[in-house]
Amino acid sequence: MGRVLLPFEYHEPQSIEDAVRLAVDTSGTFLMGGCTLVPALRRRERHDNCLISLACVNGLDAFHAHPKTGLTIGAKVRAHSVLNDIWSGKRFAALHEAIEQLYPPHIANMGSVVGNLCSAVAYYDLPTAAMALGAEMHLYSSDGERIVSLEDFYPKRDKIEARAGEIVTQLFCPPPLPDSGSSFKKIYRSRRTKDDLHKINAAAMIALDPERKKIVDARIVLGSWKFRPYRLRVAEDMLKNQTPRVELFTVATDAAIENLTPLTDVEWAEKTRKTQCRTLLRDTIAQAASRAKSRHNPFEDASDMLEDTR
Amino acid sequence: MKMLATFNVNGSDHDTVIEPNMILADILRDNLRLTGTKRACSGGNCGACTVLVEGEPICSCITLAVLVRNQQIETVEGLAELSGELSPLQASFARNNAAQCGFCTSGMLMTAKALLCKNSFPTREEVKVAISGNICRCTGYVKIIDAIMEAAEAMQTPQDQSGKA
Repeated sequence: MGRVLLPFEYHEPQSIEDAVRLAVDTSGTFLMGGCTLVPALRRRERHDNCLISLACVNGLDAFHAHPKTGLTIGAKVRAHSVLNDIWSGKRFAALHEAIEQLYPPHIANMGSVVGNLCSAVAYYDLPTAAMALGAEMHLYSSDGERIVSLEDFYPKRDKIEARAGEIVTQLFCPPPLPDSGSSFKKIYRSRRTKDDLHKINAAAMIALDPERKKIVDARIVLGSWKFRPYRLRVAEDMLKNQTPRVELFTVATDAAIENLTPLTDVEWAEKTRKTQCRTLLRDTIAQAASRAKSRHNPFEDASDMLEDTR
Repeated sequence: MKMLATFNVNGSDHDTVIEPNMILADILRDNLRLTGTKRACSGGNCGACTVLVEGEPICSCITLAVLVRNQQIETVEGLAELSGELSPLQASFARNNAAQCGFCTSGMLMTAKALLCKNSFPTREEVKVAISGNICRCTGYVKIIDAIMEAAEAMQTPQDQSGKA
């Protein structure tokens, strides 16, 4: 790995409008923590002639998490802010767990959540977790703001759904359903590299009916399986209106991944990845369902919100 | 595009000329001559380059220096007293033989300092999680964890009320 980065132009705009204008004028790349960008520049995998730092841009540091209003994470919010928030841990557990397992842990102090999602790296964990929570990205350009679901945010390999001169201002996860739980798991905690295809992550959100007997909604996502997080709709449909139990989770995950082909480099890896996936998915769904079942009284959320607004 | 930048390192302001493509570890070592911070993997994998920025451990080998201008940076050189007396954490590392080749030690110390500043009574498990981003190829970690646990204990005793890790 080369030690010195090639020279580039550098800008520090103060407002979102200035940042957007600079991006149009210079075709620059937005920079926040640089955890993905700097190693890529070092490895000469990419060369950017111009970087536009968001560090001084006002209005990108919104962070709010509450079960009644959802989770809002501005583009400048570093991952460790989410770790230190109690509601993120309780009601947006999948994302919280994904951040908790970032390796090395220092990355959470350096990188932003939105930056991680915008890196569009297939094996990253946060996109998988955020997709399970139904996240959407808010994009801003001189034409105004638009909202893109995270499922539509990765149109091609290594690409995000942001046009030239468009900036991602925040991530928003809608409020979770009252009796729901989410979970995130991955195989191997060590840092991943592009060639490491044997590492998989999974996230699930399970919502139960008020009696907590039947599954009313499910979102199951696999990461590092395709070039972007992949929703297993077959499994989701099989789980709906069923009583949550491990046998059901096993059958649903088997059916969902049976006809899928994962990213793979050698033939035998496909079988291994499928086997790993079955176990990982089953455990992730089971944990999400268990959290949904053991949820505290949802009225506590409401009373807490009342206190917040007083 | 050269620029004059100020870095507050270990409590003192240092003015130096940098370029936007310069990495913090290089600035610390080459411009400020603070060579306690090590360059190893240059990819944010090993933790040898760990320094504290605003009290949080970061990998200085993948941090653009331009991003941390005017922020409080702490390096391993800032741990000991000006008289040269070792901090309780450093003394504990020495007592427990928690360094062999010593290449990872500065990063370990900085990560441990950040942990002890946040959590005065860490469990062994919490210490393991905190230093999980710092790789040591010599010690097998046991002595490092022992040293951090002992330092945490020492910092609670009446003679060490300064809180300096």
